Amino acid sequence: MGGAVCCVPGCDGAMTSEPQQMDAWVWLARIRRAQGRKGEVLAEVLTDFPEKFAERKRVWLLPGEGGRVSGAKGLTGVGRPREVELVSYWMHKAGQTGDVVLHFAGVNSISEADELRGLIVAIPRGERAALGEDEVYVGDLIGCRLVDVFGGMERVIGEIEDVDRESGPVALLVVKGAGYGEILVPFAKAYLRRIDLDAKRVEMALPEGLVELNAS
Amino acid sequence: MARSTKKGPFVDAHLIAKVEVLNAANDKKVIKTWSRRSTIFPEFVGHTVAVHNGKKFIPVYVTENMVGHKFGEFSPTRTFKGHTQKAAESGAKAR
Repeated sequence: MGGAVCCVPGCDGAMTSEPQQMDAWVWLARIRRAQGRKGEVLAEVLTDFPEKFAERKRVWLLPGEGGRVSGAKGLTGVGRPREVELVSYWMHKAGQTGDVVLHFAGVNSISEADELRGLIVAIPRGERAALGEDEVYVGDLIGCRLVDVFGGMERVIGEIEDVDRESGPVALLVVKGAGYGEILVPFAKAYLRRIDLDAKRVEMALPEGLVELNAS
Repeated sequence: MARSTKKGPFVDAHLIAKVEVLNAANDKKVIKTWSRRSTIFPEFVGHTVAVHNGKKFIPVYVTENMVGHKFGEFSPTRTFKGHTQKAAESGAKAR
């Protein structure tokens, strides 16, 4: 689940230079190992939209564990994100494994590909895929204040710390409330009133008894 | 062995009675229940049912595609949520 991230000020989706802060990146995949004989790598998919690899010709390699961007010819660098051209991609075993095979320009052998092991494939936050009308990025929700507007009265519930998408078809907002402890709130359209990401504020009309559910 | 179709789906009487009262009053209060074994009926759609997982109540907002499942399926009793995927590109949809 997404960690605490922040938006890049002034980012318009046509970014040409790399963001300076690590939290300005969005991770797409984590390189596991070399795959095949021609320099391809096998990577664990971290994005909900792996099909967007088809449109992305430009990605960045971020330091993996240890903070080093090691690499093959043209990709060498220590501690700095490196821009690489994505030549081709395909889902490993037709998508059955949740992994993707990536081929970068300039990486043409097993040994060169093996040096990319552990790196993160990422894009700047401004280049994220567009979402549907009633969708929002998990990373954008985290850190927002949840306000209950039921009955016309405003009540600040707390700050959204995480989003649990594993329990069921409706995601649960994990809210750390001042005086309420941890509160789980279904992210349901019926309750949602307004999301203001600039003000980091989510307004919901919560049903009676939800906030006090696990109060001892 | 599967339950006999002759009997129909099971739901605890006290739980369906609560939701019928709320439907009659057109109210949307959270219903607390320990009845993980109850089948989700169409009457529950649009309500939030807090299902106990042995430690705490997990709020379950019932949607149409949950009908026919049991409440316990949506209130996990184990807490492992996988390893951290920092800043991964993931979205949540309001249903």
